[in-house]
Amino acid sequence: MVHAPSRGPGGLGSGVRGVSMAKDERPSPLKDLETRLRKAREGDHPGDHDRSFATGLGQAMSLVIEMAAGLAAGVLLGWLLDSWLGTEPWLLVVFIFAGMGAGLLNAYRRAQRFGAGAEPNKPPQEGDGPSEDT
Amino acid sequence: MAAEEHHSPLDQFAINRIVDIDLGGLDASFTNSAVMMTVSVVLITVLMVFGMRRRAMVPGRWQSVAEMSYELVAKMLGETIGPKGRRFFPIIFSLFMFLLFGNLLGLIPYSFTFTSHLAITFVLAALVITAVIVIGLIKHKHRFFKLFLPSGVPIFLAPLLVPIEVVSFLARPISLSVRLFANMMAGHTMMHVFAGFVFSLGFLGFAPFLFIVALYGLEFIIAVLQAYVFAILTCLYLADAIHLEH
Repeated sequence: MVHAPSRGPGGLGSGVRGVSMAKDERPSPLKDLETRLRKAREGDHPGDHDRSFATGLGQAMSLVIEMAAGLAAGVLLGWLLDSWLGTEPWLLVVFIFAGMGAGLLNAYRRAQRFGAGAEPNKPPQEGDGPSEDT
Repeated sequence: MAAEEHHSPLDQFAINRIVDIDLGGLDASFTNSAVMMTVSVVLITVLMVFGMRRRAMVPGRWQSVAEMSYELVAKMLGETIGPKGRRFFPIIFSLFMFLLFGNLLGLIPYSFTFTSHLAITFVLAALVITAVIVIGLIKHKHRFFKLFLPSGVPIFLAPLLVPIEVVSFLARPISLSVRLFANMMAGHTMMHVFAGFVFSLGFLGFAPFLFIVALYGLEFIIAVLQAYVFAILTCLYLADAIHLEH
């Protein structure tokens, strides 16, 4: 196990275990750790298929939820304003349309973020950041 | 099949009172949901306090978990809000860990998923959006309302765009809470339905059983992903309130 870190690129599992178990004074060769880690990350992961499926499902679902939430917020706001101002059906009608628009807008904004970073473990809005939501 | 009646797939979301507490007519009983919330808070505290006790240069298993979750949230804040986001770290980290543990603990058989209740997720989302409004108003005073009128838009479009922007802002807590609640509830219901198939199909039940195994893995990913999504959207909404000039 002590000589495991010097084994160069390759078995990441044994390499990492070797590093944490190495009790000797000599500094372990952490220099090539970065390249070894990158190499290991590029390899295939067993959960990859599952994850991309989960991401796709999550993205599709969040678009639907975004649209429904817009409409729900519109109906809620219109209904509350109506009962507050006593303008019974009219503001509800207006805000239903505003809600549809808002739902589409929010769904569009989210969909833009999916394109920016498809990987789930990366923040999805790299680069164009929070600006697009104002 | 007759037993299906008392074994509805939705039974698992039932709230049971464990200790009855009555606060002046207000039902504040300690329920199974409250038990799971307490358990997750205790587990998070244990993980953080005991995981970081040794503070080793080369972290052990528990310290790695604690450091990874710290770095995940710190990176998320840095990339969405920027250096100003550091002061929101405690709330975002607490929120993320609370939801993560709630989602993951819910996957343990016979436990309870408190994030599968809209009441819980909506309270958290309402908290977030209230914080966004309050922070925005404190930081930008009346200029905060420019959020509802994107700059560079001709003024005659304002009557059309302002209601849409207002509604789209109000839709945020709804979509934030419904996304988490729906994901959790749908997943758990689906697992229960397929678990029912395993028994009712007899020998052929191995097919739904295999499906449940795959679904369980998927649910595990969704549990983590949804906690992450909730946290990152909170960060983005906070970023909106802070960087109004965009």
